[in-house]
Amino acid sequence: MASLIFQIMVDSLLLGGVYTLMAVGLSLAFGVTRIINFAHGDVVMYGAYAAFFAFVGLNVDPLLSLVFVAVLGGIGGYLLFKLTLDRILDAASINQVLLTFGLGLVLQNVAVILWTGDERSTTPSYAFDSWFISDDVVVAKGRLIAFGLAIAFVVLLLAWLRWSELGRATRAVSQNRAAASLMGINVRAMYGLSFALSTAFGTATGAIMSFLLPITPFMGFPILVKAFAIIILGGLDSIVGTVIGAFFLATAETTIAYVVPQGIGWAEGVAFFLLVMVLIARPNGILGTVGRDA
Amino acid sequence: MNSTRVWIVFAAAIIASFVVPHFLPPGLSDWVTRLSTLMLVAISWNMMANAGLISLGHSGFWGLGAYSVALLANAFHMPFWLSLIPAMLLGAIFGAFLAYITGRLRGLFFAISTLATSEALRVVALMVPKLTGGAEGVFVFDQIRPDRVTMTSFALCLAVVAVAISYFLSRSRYQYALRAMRDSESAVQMLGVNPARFRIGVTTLSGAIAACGGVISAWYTGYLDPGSAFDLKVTISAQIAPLFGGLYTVTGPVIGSFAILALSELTRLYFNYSGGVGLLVYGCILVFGVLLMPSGLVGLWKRRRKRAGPVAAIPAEVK
Amino acid sequence: MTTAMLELDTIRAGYNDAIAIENISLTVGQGEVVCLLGANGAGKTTTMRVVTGLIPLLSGAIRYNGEDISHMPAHERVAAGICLSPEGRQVFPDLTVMENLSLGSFNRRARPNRKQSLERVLTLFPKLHERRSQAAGLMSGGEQQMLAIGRALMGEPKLLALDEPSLGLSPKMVSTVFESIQTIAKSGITILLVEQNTRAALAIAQRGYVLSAGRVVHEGTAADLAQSEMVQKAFVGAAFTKQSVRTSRRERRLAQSNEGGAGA
Repeated sequence: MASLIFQIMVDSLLLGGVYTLMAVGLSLAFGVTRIINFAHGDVVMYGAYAAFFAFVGLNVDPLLSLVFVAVLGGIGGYLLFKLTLDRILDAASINQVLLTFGLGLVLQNVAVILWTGDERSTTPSYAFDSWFISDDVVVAKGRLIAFGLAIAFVVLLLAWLRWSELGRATRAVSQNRAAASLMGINVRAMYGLSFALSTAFGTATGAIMSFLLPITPFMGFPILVKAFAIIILGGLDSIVGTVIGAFFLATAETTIAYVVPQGIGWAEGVAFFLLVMVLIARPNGILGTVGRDA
Repeated sequence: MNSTRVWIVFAAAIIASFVVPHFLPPGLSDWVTRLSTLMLVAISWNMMANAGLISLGHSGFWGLGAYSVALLANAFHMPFWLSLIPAMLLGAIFGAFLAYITGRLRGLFFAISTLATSEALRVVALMVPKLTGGAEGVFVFDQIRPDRVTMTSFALCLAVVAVAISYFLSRSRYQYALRAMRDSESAVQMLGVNPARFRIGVTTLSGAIAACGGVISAWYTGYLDPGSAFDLKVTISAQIAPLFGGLYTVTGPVIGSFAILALSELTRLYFNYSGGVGLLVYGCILVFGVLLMPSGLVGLWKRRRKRAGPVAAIPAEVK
Repeated sequence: MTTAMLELDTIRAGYNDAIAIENISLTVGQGEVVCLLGANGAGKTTTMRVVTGLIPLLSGAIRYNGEDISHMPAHERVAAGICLSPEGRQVFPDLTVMENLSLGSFNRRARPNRKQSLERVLTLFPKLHERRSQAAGLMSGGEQQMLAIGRALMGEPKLLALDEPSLGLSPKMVSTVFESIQTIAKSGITILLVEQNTRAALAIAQRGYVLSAGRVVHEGTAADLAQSEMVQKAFVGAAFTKQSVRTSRRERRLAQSNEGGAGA
């Protein structure tokens, strides 16, 4: 019994790290631009494919291609932002929702056409190794590495936000747009930057997931739903809240997967369930301030 | 147009919907049925959008309607016109549920919720084969399926009724409240309007209407599976039609439906309709539609009539 | 005649489709303290927003040291030397006082001198030094006002714009803040001040404009405005000194005896 609990804890922890990375980009972009990117899941998917092609085409380990994939993702996101979202920043929010939704659709189906619906995976050696902590508790090496990377990225982001000039400016913009421009901050440029960071983190997540999940053009959607559940649980504009939400979801999913019969199938539904619960009980989330009234 | 004339027009249209299908060749009849179902979801989506609620999961209503038909037809041999009632009820309940969980939150939360719940419904349909036939799908009991002409009349009639409902709603006293809600729910409260109740009213009605689309589709094709019943295409078409024809207007979804259907016919004739291309085109249309024509074709026309005022780029909030 | 530092030339501006200010023309000379007076809703804050670039102007022009800046974006005006302490303070609530101040010198011109600017500001407002690690949102109104002004100073302004610095402050706090403003003025920085508290404003300004319903209805030196009946009558909350009340009563009696009782 104790070892089951311990196993659940270990797996939840490792999953939580990856989930944090998955959701933090969305949270950052929303905090600054007040736009929810409905294409975020598909951005993650592209990161996975990028890592995959680097792996099979160039024989580059996903961990090594990670930074490169993230940079590409950031540039791509920035371009996407400039070409589309930047033009409708002042429009009603319905336009933003439909636009990002449509973008997600385009991204997804370009992937379908280019790469078909077949499942892919990167298969670096560590994806198959595992360690035994005790007699009954196993730690998958791949998951541990994923966890380490994810946490590293998140810590870097938090440090950047806290101590760097631009990071501070980013926080300022998310708290008060008008006052930020009075500081000489080019708010529109900050939007672009935040969005680029968001997609960079998204593709990085994809690269990490490339050896954890099967890669298909359709993997983005469940990721989107989970990311939503996480940031709504944690509070839309709170990055620390996102971290909490991520570990919460990870723990809930892992527990269900281990404890409930056929749990793995039902674990996918946990995110949805959590989402509904949060909306009913405390829509601001744990640490957020956005929510009440249109 | 004064009230009596309007009633006459709609009555005539309903009569026509029973008469005309007898004279339509099968291809055209099929087209009319598909047009009708599209109009139903388009009008329904537009109705929600009009109240500031953006549905990204309209396929949920469609699927609910379709599966309820399958279940009732197979278990109770319920005739098609009767099956409409429980299906609409389910759609209404689903709509009310969505409004309830998002309470007075911004439209964004509603959008997210619709996305999540429609997906959840699809997963349930997949995971509970005893009820829904699972991935293999389910056939609608063949004997009680109506013939082509009846089906087309049924569909057309429902579409006309939906247009009538949206028309009368747009002329009712609720319209101002709804439009105000679209812009600012907190302002609306000062007018003595209870936004939560309005939301539930809108989503219940729209949900019922959208479910009708699924009902017709189920009877018409006689087969459904989770993928097709909860198809993303339903949601997308429901969005593009009003976007094309004129968001928030009464005629917009109707005109847009024609346009979408014509477009999809064209692409089907000239391109090899492989899986991703259709949705890709739809996605592009959505993106370009939002970027270039936020008020749809009707809006473009309206704008040309109005003198161009100052289009200053005022920051969204100057807090 | 030297070019004024700031010149508004028949400005019209508003929000969405509503015009809020019309035909606004004013000048601010180098080293001057100029105030904009007027009741609530007169258009003072709108004018400030146009000056700092937060809202676009619909017609007219703004010139800064002779250069037309009518379409210059807000963040560039800061770099050019126009810094605003906005109405309602608008501090960054979840950032500390130090972080708020550092952001004040975000612009390229001011950033290298951040340390010196910080010293100056903290000397001027010792209270801010006390509270330097506190979240700005938790401070009192007066402290936030000092922070807002300090933050604007961090940008090394050539023109310091202050929008309603007395709003919501106790009288004691108002004098403290205005003393500081006077110190700032003495150091040579040009100041454009928007205020409902007419007495406090005219005590430190050299010139002023009176706005009403979006237009300039009166202008003059501070002394002129202080004695003007229009100014004295029009504003609720302006604290009259016993002297000014006696003066107006005497004036009214004089006017009545001169004009045989006809109303002023």
